[in-house]
Amino acid sequence: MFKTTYRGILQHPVRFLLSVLAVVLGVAFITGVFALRTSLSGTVTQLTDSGYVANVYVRGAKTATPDGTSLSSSLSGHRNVPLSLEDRVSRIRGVTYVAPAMQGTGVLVGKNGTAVAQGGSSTLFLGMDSAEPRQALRVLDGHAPRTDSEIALTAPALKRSGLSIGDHTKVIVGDSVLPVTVVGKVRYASTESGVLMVGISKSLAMSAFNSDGTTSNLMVYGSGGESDAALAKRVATALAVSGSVRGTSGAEASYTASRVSGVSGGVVVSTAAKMRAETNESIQQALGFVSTFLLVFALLALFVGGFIIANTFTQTVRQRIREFAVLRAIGASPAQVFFSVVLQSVIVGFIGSLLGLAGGVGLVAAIRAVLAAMGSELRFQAPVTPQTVLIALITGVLVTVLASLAPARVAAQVPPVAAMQQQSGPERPLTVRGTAGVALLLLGGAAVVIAAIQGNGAGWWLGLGAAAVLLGALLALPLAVRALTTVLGWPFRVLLRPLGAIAQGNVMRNPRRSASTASALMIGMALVGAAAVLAGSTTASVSSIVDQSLRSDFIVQSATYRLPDGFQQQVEQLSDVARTDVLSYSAGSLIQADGVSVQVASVTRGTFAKSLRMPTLHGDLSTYDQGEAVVQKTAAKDHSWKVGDTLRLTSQHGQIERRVRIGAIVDDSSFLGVPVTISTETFDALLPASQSRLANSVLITARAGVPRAELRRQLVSEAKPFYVLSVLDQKQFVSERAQQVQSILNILYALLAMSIVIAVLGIVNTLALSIIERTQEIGLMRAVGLGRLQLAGTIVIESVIIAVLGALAGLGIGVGVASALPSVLSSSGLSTLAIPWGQLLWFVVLSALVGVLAAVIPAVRAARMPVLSAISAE
Amino acid sequence: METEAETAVAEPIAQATGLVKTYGKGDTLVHALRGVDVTFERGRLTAIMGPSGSGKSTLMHCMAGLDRVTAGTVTVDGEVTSSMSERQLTRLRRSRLGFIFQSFNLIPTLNALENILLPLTIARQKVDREWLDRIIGVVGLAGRLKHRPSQLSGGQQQRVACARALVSRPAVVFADEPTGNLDSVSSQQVLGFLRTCVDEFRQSVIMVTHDPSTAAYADRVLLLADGQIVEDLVHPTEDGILDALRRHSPVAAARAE
Repeated sequence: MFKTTYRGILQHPVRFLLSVLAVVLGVAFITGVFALRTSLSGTVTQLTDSGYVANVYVRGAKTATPDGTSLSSSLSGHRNVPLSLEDRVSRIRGVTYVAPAMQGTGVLVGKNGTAVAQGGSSTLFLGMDSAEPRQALRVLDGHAPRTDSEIALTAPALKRSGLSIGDHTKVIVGDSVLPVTVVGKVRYASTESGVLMVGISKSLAMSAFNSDGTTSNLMVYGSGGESDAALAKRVATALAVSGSVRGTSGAEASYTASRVSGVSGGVVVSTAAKMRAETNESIQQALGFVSTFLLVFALLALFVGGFIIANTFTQTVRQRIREFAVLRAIGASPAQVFFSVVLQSVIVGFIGSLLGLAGGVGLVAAIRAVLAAMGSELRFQAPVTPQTVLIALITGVLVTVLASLAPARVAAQVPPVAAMQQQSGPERPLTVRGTAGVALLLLGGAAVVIAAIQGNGAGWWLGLGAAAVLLGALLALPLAVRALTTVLGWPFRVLLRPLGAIAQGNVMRNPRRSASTASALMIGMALVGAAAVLAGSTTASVSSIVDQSLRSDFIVQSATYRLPDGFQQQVEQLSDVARTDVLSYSAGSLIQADGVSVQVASVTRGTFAKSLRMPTLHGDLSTYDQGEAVVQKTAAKDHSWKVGDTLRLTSQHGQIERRVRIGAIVDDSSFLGVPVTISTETFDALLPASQSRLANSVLITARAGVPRAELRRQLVSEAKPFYVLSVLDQKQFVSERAQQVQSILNILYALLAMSIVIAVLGIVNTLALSIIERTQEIGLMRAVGLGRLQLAGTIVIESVIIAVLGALAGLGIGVGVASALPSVLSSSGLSTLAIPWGQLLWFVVLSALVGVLAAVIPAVRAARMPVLSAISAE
Repeated sequence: METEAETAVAEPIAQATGLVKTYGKGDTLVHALRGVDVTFERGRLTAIMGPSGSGKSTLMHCMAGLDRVTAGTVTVDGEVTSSMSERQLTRLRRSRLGFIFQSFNLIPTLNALENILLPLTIARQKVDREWLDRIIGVVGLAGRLKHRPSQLSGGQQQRVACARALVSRPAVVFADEPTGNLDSVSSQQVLGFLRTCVDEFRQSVIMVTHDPSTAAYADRVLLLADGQIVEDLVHPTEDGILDALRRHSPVAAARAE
């Protein structure tokens, strides 16, 4: 039997190659996703690893509610420590040097006078302390900055800014714009990553990043004569009031001294290894979302790949029915036939997986090239780990074998008499599969409707519903093939006589096959459709919120999320300006309202009366100017806050507390988009450190009668010296927001493009196989006078019908499910449902093109078939 | 004598001169046809016979433009087909030739009527209702026109194929072992139909067969052996054909030596 297995492969290389191709595609996608994931986390890990150059780090106590949404110092989940602790630590035996962490983000102005930006991430500024035993930034050329007007740049920063040593430029750190000179070229610890870094003097870093008298951590250097863990333990013990510490030993040691005089909550002293481990963990968590997301795509790819493989095997088995019958007639048992097919699938799976592995590596290289072109230079260590290889091989072979089981069963059940018969019997009926599919479709649809009715927080219903609808559609698609094809085939039937009718007949001949060919495209297009609706709705929502809320003429935004000192005051003094309103936000959920971490906002007094309309549901917005709080609907509902209630707001772990009465409840789709808005006085009191406040926009209202264009000119010239400010009118503001959504969407589309590629190859595969199957028929058609071009045309039409069929089904599902999104995500500001019909139409046109593309090779092959040998083919 | 006169008077529908067809090269060179000169008359049913490997199928394929000739010329319905391009041949097949194959070769997705009309559909020609009804009447498929090939018996399928071959009123119909896959009753029906076509509709049919009883339906039987025409029988009986076959069988050849 083994001989027939591999002879079978050798005899029909094309058939074999096409099945292998199906596996290659699926495995390539998986490998790509896994490799991408490995390299993403690898890049970041590498970056963080090299940052921890000291032996031991002293941080504040762990915050009670570690909140992933907070920024900067609270990323680690630890409180800051007072700078005054530095002195005490330096006197501990065995400590040779102590320095506070001095880093933050800022803006570097490049040679061309504009802010240097890279892939949306901000530039990292690092204080350089020449006395520190080990430097995170090492000088390669020139010297380290000695004064506040000197900076040193890493190679990527030099390259991107176009600056060189000796050049004069400006930087924006803290809230001020400073003139500086580039004095050195530096390198970040052991590796050269793509991140832009600027070295600044210690004094500048201290005033910019540690101005509130605290730092995120103290870096402690030991003499080197003892382990980091021993040093950590001694530092913690020395700082603790009673000398008692808790903690774990080992390389990743960390000791907690819960009572330290002058430091509420105590300190945590950790080794560098522990710091690295923690950072990596938090980064992995942050990447977790990306990984999960990619994994979902990989699973989808596998699912689609499985479909293609099963499809291929079903077809090859159909074509070999005679052969199996002969084997059975000469005495092979059904089991032998079964295993000969399964064995073939193992070979196909293995070879396909190996090739797919190579393809996946290529895919990652392509992605890397694209990312590099977009400006984020990721460093890749070892993109393909043994783990990845193993996963790819196992899934590839497993899926192939699983997919071959049903066709193998069909092969095993071929009766020996079939060897003498002309054709195989009719198709198996679709009753069971169709019923299950329709049932799932209905259940899923119901879940989606429930989600839409329930609204906020019904994400689970929507997710389950979407999954059920997709699965149901996959099962039920063969039932719809006939009807859909009749409709889709109509223009071809009418315009392209007689080819259209012939092609349509070919599509409808085997609904099962046509459906599984279309299903790959259907899945991809379902996601594309959902993404398009999400994007359209987001843009529409933003625009409707802005339209309804914003009454000022211009909005000035800062790229650093901080307004540079003096800008607002200067603008206010312009004679053409009626008023300015500053919008400030807390940098993350730094404030607890009745014990719940929330992000808060604050606006200038009078904003709600003059510049910003808010959809008030209860209470009176004008009370805001008397110091009362404005709360969003969902937050109020979740925490049962009512107008007249008093909110207890605390910050800095309860050290600062303010009580505020709730004056008004507004709709979720408010311009500010945060749960709680409080007066500027309360806001400033709760968040004394300027780093914890983001004041990223100013609303500017023109005096009556002032031409907008004139005011705009003035504002632009005022903003120019600050580099990071952009002056936007309402329309520009909306499109700015929309662009942010669009850039996220572009990444999504790139991923989806992969599934579309798989879909195209799936169609190629099926077409090619069905042409082999129809050889005799094609020969006959040619014999009775069908020209080569006509034959090719028929195949193209067939392919287009299948592709459009898949696209329509997919887009229908995607749009249908995504239509429930605005009601489910209304608290996130998605208020309006907008279906971008024009865009969807383009997707359908695109899918038709995909169909044409997929048909090229099979059509050429078919047209080249010699008539005579085709007719007499077995 | 009368038959000879008839042969001389009848105009040719297809003609081959010096027809040579070889396959492969070098050691594997096979001479399928070694210079065949033959004329097929209009309005006749001509059978080509011969043992397997004699070149009978090759001769038909070359006459029908399905296969390229190595040397010589083929003329069908007044046009030299041996030098035609693929595109011209496609057009010729579409408008002037009809085909009947051993294994029926119907399109499974089309019903009987659609299969019959396929050549007209491809050529985008109008259906001649009267002609169509006549053919369908003769093949006796009136009640089965809406059936798919899988719902028809082998004989019925071949009769559909016959109707298809005739529907475009071709100049000549080529039939390759039309009864090869049929039982005797079905074979008689198909051959009866071909006879009717020739006798009543003045069609020309060229048929390849290895079965003497099938060949006995023909007006003329050509016997091929080793790539050459060795017998040309006019209105032969089955016994006459059998005799001729015996004369040219390898056994007879061996005995002669």
